[in-house]
Amino acid sequence: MITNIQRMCMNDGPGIRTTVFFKGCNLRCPWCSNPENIHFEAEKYYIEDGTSGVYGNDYSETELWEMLLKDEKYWKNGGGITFSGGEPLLQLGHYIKLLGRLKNKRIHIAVETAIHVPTTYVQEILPYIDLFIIDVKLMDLVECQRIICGNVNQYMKNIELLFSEKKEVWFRMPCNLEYTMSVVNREKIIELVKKYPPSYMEIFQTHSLGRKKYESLRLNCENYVEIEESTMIKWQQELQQYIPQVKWIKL
Amino acid sequence: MFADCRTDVEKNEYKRSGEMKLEFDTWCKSTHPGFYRIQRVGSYNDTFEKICELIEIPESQERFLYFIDPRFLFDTTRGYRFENLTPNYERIIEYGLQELKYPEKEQTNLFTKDYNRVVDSLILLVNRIVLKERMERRRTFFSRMITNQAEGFEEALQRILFINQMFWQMGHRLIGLGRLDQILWKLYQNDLKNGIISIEDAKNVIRDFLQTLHSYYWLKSNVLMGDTGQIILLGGIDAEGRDQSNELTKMFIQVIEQLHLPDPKVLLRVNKNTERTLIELALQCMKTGVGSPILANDDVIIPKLLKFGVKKDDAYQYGTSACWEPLIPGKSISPNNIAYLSYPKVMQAVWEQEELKEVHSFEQFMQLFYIQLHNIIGGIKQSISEIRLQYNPLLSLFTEGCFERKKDVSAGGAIYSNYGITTVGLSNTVNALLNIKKHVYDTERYSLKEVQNILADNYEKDIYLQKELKSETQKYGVDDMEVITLTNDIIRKTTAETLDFRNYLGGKLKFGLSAPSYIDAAKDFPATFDGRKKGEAFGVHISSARSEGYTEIVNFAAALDYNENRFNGNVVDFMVSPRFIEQNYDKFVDFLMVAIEEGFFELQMNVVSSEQLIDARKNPDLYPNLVVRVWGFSAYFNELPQEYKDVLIQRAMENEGKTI
Repeated sequence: MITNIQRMCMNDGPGIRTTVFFKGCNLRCPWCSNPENIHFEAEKYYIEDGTSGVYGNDYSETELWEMLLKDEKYWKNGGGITFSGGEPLLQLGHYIKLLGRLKNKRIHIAVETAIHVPTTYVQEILPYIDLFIIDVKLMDLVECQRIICGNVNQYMKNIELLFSEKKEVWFRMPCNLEYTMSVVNREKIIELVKKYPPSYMEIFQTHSLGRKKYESLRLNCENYVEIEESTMIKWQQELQQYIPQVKWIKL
Repeated sequence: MFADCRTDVEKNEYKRSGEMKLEFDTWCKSTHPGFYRIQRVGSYNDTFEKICELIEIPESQERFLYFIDPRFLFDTTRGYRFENLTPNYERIIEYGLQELKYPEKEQTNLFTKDYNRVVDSLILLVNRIVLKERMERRRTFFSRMITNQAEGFEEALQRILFINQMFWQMGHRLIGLGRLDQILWKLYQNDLKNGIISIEDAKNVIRDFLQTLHSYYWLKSNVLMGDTGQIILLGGIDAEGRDQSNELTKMFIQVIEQLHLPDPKVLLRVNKNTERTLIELALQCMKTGVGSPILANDDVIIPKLLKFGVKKDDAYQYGTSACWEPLIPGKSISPNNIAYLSYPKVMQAVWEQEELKEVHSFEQFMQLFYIQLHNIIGGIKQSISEIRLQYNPLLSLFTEGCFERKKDVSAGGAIYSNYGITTVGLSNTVNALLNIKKHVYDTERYSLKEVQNILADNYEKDIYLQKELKSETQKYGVDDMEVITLTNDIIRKTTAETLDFRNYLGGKLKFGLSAPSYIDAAKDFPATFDGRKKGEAFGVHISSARSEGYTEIVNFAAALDYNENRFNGNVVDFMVSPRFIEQNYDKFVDFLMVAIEEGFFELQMNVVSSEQLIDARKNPDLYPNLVVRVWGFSAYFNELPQEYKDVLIQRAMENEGKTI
C-alpha cells in the first residue's frame, strides 16, 4: 500500500528524485512527521474545512512503473528513485520484479529506512539498492524498545551486514531534546559512527511538521522544544570528526 | 532630472488607494491643472514639433539625461495606439539623425515628408539640449547624435534613452529596450580595448542606465503599478546555433540582482547548450524574488517562428512584447495583446444552448463546445478586423521596413504587422471538461441539467463537491496523456478558427496560453465546473496548484503543441519558496537545465514564501521593498490591489502544501 508518490524531491538522496511513500511502519516514533504512514491499512482523513479522503492506494506494477519513470530525464546528475515510508523494507520484498526492471535500466535506487527489520528482508533487496539512508534514533536497547518499539540488536546486525557488503550508507538523525539529543544517546551515536562511518550524514530538528496530517487523522500532535542553533552546530561539528560530510537540514 | 512634483502625501495617497494607473490622468487634472495630455493640434507632425519645441529640458547632475514632461504627453487615447513593442534603437546608434532622412529627391510621398519632419523635430530638440547642456561629455554626445553614429558604450545608452523617452512622451506605453547585450557588444568591446572604460565602469553605467529607466515608474505604469513593459532582452543563439550571450549579458543580470528593482525587467534567452554558469547567475537573480529574468527557450520558440513565416535571420533575433509574446524587435509592430479569448466564456455559451438537451455523450458535448468556440472567436475576429492603427512617423522612423517601403507603420511599412491575442481560463475549462466527462458521462453521477443547477447555485448546496472538484488529481498541468490530449485538441481547434484571419495590413493572427486578465476576466464570472466559485480568479498562465508540480508542469508544458500560430507567449509560472531554492541550489540548477532540454516555451518564477506575503499584507510598512511577479512584470507587493495580493498568497500556500 502506497500513500504518495512525490516527484522532484530534493532531500531524499543524491540528485532530483521521485520518492515512493509506503504505508505502514513497525516503529512508533513520537515525533513521526508522516503519521499517515504508520498503519498498514487505508485510512480515512478529515480536513477542517469538512472534506475527507483516504490515505493509501494500491498500485499495480505497471501503474507504478509508469509513474516512477515520468521524471527519468531529470535524474542525469545522480538522481533516481527513493523508497520511503513508513518502513519500506517491510513491503519492498513484494516488488522484486519491479526493482529488477529498474536496476536493468541502471536507475539509482535508494531506500529511507529505520532498518529495525528482520535481516532476511534486507538480504532480499540488497542487490537492487544503491544507497541505504538509515535513520539514527535511539541507541539504548531499553529506551529504544520503550519509546519507539525498536530493536537495537536487530538494527546493529543489519548495519553490520550493509557495511560488510560495502553498500553505500548515509545516516539521518531526527534531533529533539526530549529524546534523541540526550547526552547518553549522543555518546552512543558517536560510538556508532566511529565503528560504521557513513559517507554522509544529515541531522534535522523534529518540528511539528506533520501537524496538519495529525489533525486530519484526529490524532494529537506533540510540540517539541526548539533546539538552540549553537547546540545543533556543536553536534554537527562533533559528528564531522568521523564523517566526511554532515549537513544540518533546516526544514 | 525631472522629479515627480507631487508631494509625498499625494504620492502616498495615490499609492495607498491601490488605484489603477489610468486614474492618474484624472488625478493630474484635478490636483495639477497644469498637467494635461496634449491633444493633436493639426497634423501629427505639427504636434510632434510643438512637443519638441516646448518640453522642458531639466538640468541634471546624473550620468544620463532623461526626461518626460508630463505637461505635454501626447494624447493617444483615440484610435488604436502602438504600444507593447520595441523600437529599432540600432538606427540611432549606427546613424546620426541627419543620416536617417530621405534625400531631397527621395521625398516622393506624404509619408517621406512627414518622416523627414519628425527627424527635423528631433534635431530641433537635440539642438535645444546641446545649447542648454552644461556637462561637456553629454554635450558632445548630443551634438554628435545629429550627424554621426555613436562612438562608445555610454553614448549609445544615452541615445537609447533619448529615443525611449520620446516614445513615452508621445503617449506610447510598454516600450521595450531590445537585445542590449547584442546591440552594445561591439561598442563595449571597443571601449574596453581602447581603455575608455573598465569592466567596473561598465557595470556602473548599466546601473545608472537601469535606474534612469526606473525613474518614471509611476508615470510609466500601465494597468497596475509596475506594469511598465520595460523589458531588456538578453542572450540567445544565432542562425548557426552559437550562443551569443557575453559579458554584458552577465553584467545586466548581476546589476538587476543588486538593484532589486521590479522594473526594468529582463528576459534571458536560453537553449540546451546554455552554460551552467549563466543559468546559475539567472537563478541567483530570480532567487532574490525580483521576478526576473524570465527564461525563453530558443530551441522551442525559434522553430515555431520559422514555421509561421518569420525570415531565418529575423527569427534568431526574436525578442518579446512587454510580457512574453515573441516578436522581432525593431522590425515588428505586432500588437500582440490586441484582445483576449476567454475559454470559460465559450463554456458559458455552451450552457446556454438549447441543443444541450440533445447531448448524450462527451463527444457531442465537445462538438457543441467547438461550435461556441467558433462563434466567440468569430466575434473577436470581427472586432479586431475593424481596428485601424494610428499614423505614426516617429515609430516608422524606428521600425525597419518603413524607410525602404516609404510607408508608415499604420500602412504596412513594418516587416511584420501581425496581430496577437492572449487566452485566459484554459486551465479552468480543461478541468471543467474533464469533470463533465467523469461525473456526467463516465460515472453518470450527475446529469448536465444538475451540473447547470449546481453552477447556477454557485455550489451553495454542494460545498463538498466543489472541494472534491478542486482537489481532482487529473487536471491541467499534470503530465497525463488524457489531459494533454484534451488541451492540445482545444488549442488546435483555436488555431483552426484563427489561422485564416488577415488584418488590414495582411498580417496574421497568433495566440498564446498566458494572459494578464486572469483576475479581471474572472470578476463576476459565474461558477465553473472545476470547483471555481463565482468571481474567483482564473488559473494563472501555465501553472499548477500542486506543491510537487515542478517537473510535472514542465513535462506538461513541453507536451503542448505550440506550432502554427500558437506561440504568442506560453509561460510556465511557478511559485517557489526562497528556502527551497536556497537549500537545494545545485539541484535546482540541474532541474532548470533539464527543463530547458525537455522543452518549456517560457518560464518565470515567483520566489516568495506565503508567510512573508501574509505578513506583508498585514504590515505593509515593514515591507516597502518586497517585490513580486504579477503577470509579465514585477511590482512592489504593497502597491498591488487586494485581489492580486490574495491570489499570490493563495498560490504560495498551495505551493508550500499549506492548503489541501
